[in-house]
Amino acid sequence: MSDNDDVWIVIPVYNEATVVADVVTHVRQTFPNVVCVDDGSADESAARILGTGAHLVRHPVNLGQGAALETGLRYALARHGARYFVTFDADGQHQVPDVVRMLDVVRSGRADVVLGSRFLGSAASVPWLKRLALRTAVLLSPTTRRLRLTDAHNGLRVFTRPVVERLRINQEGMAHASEIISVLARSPWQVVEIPVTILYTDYSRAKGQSLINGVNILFDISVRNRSS
Amino acid sequence: MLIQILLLLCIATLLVVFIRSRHGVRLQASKRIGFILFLVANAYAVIRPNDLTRVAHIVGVGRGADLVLYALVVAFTFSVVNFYLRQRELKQRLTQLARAVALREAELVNRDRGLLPQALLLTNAVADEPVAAGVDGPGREA
Repeated sequence: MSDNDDVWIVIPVYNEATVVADVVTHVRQTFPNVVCVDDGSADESAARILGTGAHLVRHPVNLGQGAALETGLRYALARHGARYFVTFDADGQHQVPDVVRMLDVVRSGRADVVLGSRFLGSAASVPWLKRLALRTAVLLSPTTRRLRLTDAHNGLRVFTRPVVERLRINQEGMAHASEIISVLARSPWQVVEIPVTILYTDYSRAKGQSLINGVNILFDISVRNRSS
Repeated sequence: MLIQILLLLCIATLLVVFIRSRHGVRLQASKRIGFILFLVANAYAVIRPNDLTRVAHIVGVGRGADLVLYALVVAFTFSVVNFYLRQRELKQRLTQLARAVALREAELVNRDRGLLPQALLLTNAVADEPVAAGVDGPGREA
């Protein structure tokens, strides 16, 4: 357990009261340092997190998942001895063993950033409509192609400290995934993608991004490129 | 003509309101000059509609009213974009403000819960995030 004292797991939470405590407890069996960012949830999420051993940061108003990730990373960055930073979803679709394998890669020095991919391994668990949408997102994004990534919107990522110190997530909403990738593509950091398993439960399916939201993401990205 | 007076009054009001809200920077000057020119052109078009029709013919539009409509579409689009950018910038500031508050409070809460060492001062995560910096600064007011 003490092996992972230098790892911080960042979990953005928005209305996940039913599952968040279980997810956090499970993660903390392997990783003692967990920070949950409650993004202005209307339900009991914050109380559930307080019942676990995880650090809690509460946005006073709902700001969006990208903003929650950024807040969590800033909080973790300020903690003594933090060297590796993991972004992890609150709905239980990510697997702790996958994080361990991703950490092995960064610890070996082969990468500064490790991204999880649903498609490198067997894509069998991904619903076909979702697979089509995510594949399209990859094709539409020049930066994703430049990095030769197979999965543009996976929430499971491992960063080393220098990366987090430089990375600023400005997209408050769901476009942050594309933003992170485009920043990485322009950076000198070594980015590696490894296969991970995503558990599509009924719960995560209901909570997950709707395909139509992809339109909003494309809009956010195109406007950002023009104006800044 | 009553409509002429009304329209001129509206334009004059807009002009006053626009000039009196003086929180912009140099970058905004061109936007404002453009807006003033637009108002002046509107006023002229109201006073001398025949000139407008002639201008419309010159640029290949059938009627003067059509020309005004086109100009309006342009101005409307411009203002929508302008408001969108401004709204987004405000949202970014809100995010930075809320984040600073959240991090500050989290230090206290998590220290009370015994998760953080007692003597820890507020760390640089809160301090080094300027609320108005560089590109995101107060440059896009309108």
